[in-house]
Amino acid sequence: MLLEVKDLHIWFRKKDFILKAVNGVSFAINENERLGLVGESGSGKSITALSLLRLVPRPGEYVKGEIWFQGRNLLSLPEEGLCAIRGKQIAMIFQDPMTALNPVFTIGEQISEGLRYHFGLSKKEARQQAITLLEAVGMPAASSRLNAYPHQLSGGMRQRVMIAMALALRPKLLIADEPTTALDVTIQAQILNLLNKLSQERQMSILFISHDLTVVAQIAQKIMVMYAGIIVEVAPTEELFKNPLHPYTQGLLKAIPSIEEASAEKRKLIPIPGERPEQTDIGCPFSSRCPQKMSLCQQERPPLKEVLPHHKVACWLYA
Amino acid sequence: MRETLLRANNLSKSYKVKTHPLSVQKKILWAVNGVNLEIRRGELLGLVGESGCGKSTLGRLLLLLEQPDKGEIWWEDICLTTLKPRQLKSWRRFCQPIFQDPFASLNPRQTIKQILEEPLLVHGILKDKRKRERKIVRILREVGLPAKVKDVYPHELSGGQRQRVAIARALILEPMFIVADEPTSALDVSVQAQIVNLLLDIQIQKGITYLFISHNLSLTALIADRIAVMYLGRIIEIMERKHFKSDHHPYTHALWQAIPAFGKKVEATVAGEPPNPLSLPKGCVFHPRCPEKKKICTQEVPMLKEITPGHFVACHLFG
Repeated sequence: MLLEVKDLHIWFRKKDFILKAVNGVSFAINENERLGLVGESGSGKSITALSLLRLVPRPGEYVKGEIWFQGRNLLSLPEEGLCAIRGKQIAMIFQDPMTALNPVFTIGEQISEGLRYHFGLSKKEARQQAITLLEAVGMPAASSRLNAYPHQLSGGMRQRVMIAMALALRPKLLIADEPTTALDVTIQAQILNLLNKLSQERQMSILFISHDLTVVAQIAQKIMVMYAGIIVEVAPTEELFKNPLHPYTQGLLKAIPSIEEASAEKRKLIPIPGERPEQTDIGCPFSSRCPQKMSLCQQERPPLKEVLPHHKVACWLYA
Repeated sequence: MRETLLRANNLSKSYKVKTHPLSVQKKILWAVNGVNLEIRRGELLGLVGESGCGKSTLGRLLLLLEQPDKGEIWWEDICLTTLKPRQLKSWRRFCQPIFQDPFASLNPRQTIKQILEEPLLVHGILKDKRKRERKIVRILREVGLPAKVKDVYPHELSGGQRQRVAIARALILEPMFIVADEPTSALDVSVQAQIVNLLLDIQIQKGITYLFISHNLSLTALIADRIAVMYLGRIIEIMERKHFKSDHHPYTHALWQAIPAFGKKVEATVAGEPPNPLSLPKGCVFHPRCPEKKKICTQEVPMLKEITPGHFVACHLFG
């Protein structure tokens, strides 16, 4: 096991209420595993990702839980200890590469920075490495791009630079938070193929986060579905698509317009009724939208339980 | 075949842009470049393309929110591009937009009632206050919102509810033609399905003609009667439902292939990225990325040709 999250709770205390962004999340990532995390906006998936590097912005608090990585609990590690892990062991790429890259430094300088800081390379060596990395992520004319500033590159190119930066220190785990959401589909396909290839070549685990189940399915071997701060279902990718158990996952799969049906009759979509509820501490957070809710669902929160081999679901229908 | 409601003849729109933030030199960017398009009464025409292809500009041109540099727009037998602003105003009530971001398109300082009342006041429809109020309540019900919503401000509503208000604002003038520019891109998939279904219901009940602009080909393919595909300011393919499975322009083909779905590996059939729109390649604008390019593609711009009845492709490989 590479990383294990145990019963994580992250709260944002607001003036008159507490937003429980992550409300009891547990999962593990193995070596060489590509894990997907799917959820709609506000489900807590990005906060979960940020917490793995202890980067949750204020006023977020780690109220409870543990994050174990290589025998250490990241939540109780001093800041200096974290610096050796951030970027080097666990790297992260974000949705919008324009805001994640520094606009006043060339991309060559930005890729070199980590190499020089963590590995003590000279300027020249780091530049040479940066070229190799840019070639590895499929940047055309890599050596001439080294002196480019982020604004001179397209969105797809910037995301390649982000990936090159993340790969620079040979991390064990790459956290990719919606890395293709800002990109066009043809470019998205290129980036997804690149991430798959790199993960296999470098034996790097990936935690791939997206709101789009079909995108996650391109990368992940196993998918977790998150709703209102909790994980409602975990299953291997194929199992999740063929046999979704949680009513939310089922609704999500039906709501996606599928390209296979496109040439058939024109038809309407199948929505999930309602919208994301105000958070509740009692009962299942999906119960207000669930077509199969029972009285128990509004009273007690269902635990995440393994009901089929490798297939966990948090739903009273299967308890 | 349905009769033509709106027709664009050789429509072009350019913008002057600085080549560099600090330079005084300006170049001309053709956002829409010689577009010929017919929109038929009562149909839902999908307009698909990647970011920066000019699809939103074309939508704005067809609503006369922008003045075209060249070309004409005909509404039945009236040439809109020659009308004076005052004459256009009486036409405008029949054509309404719905925008992508319901957070930006609703005035935060107006209540929903004020937002919905404004179009009526501008066009001098329903001079009686009580009649206006009744109309507002009725239109809110039609878009699936309770009457009490009229007294709240946009920030009190969720994204899906706000988009319903934006739809209500478009409907209150009883338009014949609606341009919906990425109306669901800011919403979660489960809510996206609700809004798309609402748009389809309205189409059936009121016989409204839609231009549905989207980057999402799988969604558009599910609901559209016809699809037009744009690339770098030009329309490169127009097809009816029955052509969705036929041979396509290489770019359209690449778009289909790049759509992720479960059980299908996305293929990056086109390499590279769209060229800089300020220095477009000679010949077919797609040729630098095209896997099937021939010599003629680098020299001559392909015209939109009807290859089978109702199916137009702008590509030298056809015909």
